[in-house]
Amino acid sequence: MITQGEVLKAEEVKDKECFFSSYKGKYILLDNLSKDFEGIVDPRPVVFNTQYVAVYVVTEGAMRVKVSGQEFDVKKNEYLAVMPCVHIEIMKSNCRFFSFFTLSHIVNDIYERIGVSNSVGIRCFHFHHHILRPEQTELIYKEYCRMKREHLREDYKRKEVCLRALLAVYECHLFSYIHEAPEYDHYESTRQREFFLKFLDLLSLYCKRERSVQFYADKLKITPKYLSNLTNMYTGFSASVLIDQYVAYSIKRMLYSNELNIKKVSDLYHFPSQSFFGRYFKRIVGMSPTAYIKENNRKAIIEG
Amino acid sequence: MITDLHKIDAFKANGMFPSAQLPNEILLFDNIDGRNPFLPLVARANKLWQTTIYFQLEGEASLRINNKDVIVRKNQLLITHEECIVEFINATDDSKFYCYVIYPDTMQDIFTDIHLNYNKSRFSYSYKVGDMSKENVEYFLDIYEEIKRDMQMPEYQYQLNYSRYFLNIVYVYIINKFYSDADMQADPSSRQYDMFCKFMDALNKHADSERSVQFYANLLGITSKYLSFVCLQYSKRNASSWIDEYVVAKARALQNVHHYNIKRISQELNFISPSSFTRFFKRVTGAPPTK
Repeated sequence: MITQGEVLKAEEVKDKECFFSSYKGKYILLDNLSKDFEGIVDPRPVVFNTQYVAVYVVTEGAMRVKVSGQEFDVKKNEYLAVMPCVHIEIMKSNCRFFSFFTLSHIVNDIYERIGVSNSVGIRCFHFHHHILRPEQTELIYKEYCRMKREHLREDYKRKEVCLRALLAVYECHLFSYIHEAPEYDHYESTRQREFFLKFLDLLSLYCKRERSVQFYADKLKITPKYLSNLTNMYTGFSASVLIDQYVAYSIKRMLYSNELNIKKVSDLYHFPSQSFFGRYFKRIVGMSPTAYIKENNRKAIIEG
Repeated sequence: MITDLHKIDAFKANGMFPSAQLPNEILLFDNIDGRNPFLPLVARANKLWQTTIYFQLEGEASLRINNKDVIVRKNQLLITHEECIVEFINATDDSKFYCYVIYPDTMQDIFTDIHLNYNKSRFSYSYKVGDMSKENVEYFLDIYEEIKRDMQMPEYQYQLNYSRYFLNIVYVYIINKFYSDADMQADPSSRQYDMFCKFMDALNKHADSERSVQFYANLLGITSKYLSFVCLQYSKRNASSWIDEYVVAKARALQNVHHYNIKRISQELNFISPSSFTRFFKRVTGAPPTK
């Protein structure tokens, strides 16, 4: 199942005694840290998230997850960051954790502002699983608490700027300290893994021009079927789904940044016509490009 | 003379030692741990090129900003925008404060962060004082302590960004509190605004010898009427009130720092006689210079 956007809806968590807050679907917080709560929170079991950068930090116990086809535990004082277009499944969550989800375009904006070289786009399909020192967990927790406090404050003008600022503060810390934290490598470096990574590189390079599995398979000198098997193994989705999702992701980013109009984007991505582009976008994202711009454009976001 | 506080050395020379700093970006001053770094500045007018955000936690402090007496009381916040003339007069013994000094370039980045045009003309030479709720006092003190803690850490790559994004939150609060949407409207710098800046620069240079609007208008090659119009446009005050202010600030500085008598001051400032200086001073401030 592919769910677009929404990670979790408020109604679904109501009776589960955990904290959930969503600011216009752009900044989402979720935790089960409240003291009187003993149960297990079961965040939506399957999320194929196409828009969010998700961060999970476990403070007690362990969380069993399946990310991109790999099943592993996120233990106490461990940190899992999931980039857009990654398939994540929470198998069992017998733990205390906090997590936050942010629209990837916003994260990307912050990266640009603070001068982080790799954009979220390049990190698509990836996830990072780090071991933190207790004081680092403490630090992220403090930042999370600040975000929570800001979420709980009454709505006021430019609240979004403050939420973004807090996220930027977190990113600054993240890139200064936590980046050096030891990282799990969940994959053996095999020939298959190399093919997969090569495929991702090619995808980010050619996504504006080529959308057929055949093209990428030819580039890798393998058969389309084998390529699909590979992507299935690492992400749980076939190559054509990945290509479509990635293209949609990068188009959305383009529309968000408000630099080009729909016609120009459609030309840039080598669609034969604007209406073809509209249909393609609607098939994958579930809404037309115009509707998407109305809702998610940077300008619309700033002006609230 | 009016001191320009630009470089950190100038602050130190005036006896102001920052609690923490990112040189030429953000300076922090406080006396939360019992020091009183502003005291040596008593009775000296300083032109501040930076934006300062000052929070009074306990007691009260009296200052003179742009020649107006300002008292900052407990749980109040004072913001002085770029190029204000600030003179610290005194503070009660229990005065407790902390303050950010933000350099123009950093301020510009903050404006960009919060998607506002950096519109110097709207704010320069102005200040605001306002009350804060108890909740906000705690909230912003927490932010200050966080920034201070981080600045005292060994340098790391994103240190400036870290502090700057926190200041975003402080500044959003200030904008929401003091300014309406109309105030924040974009108003790209124009020829008129350039003119206004040139006038302020000229004033800084020539205030100890020239007091006529005509002189400054000639210097800029415009009519005195137009000069006053430009001043009104950008600062809501006319040219002659700016001139008066600078002259008085300079006179005060001469009196307090160099302990010149009135005769000497009137000579330094190019007045015809001490009595005309006294009359001028009384007209502008409402009290004779002997006070």
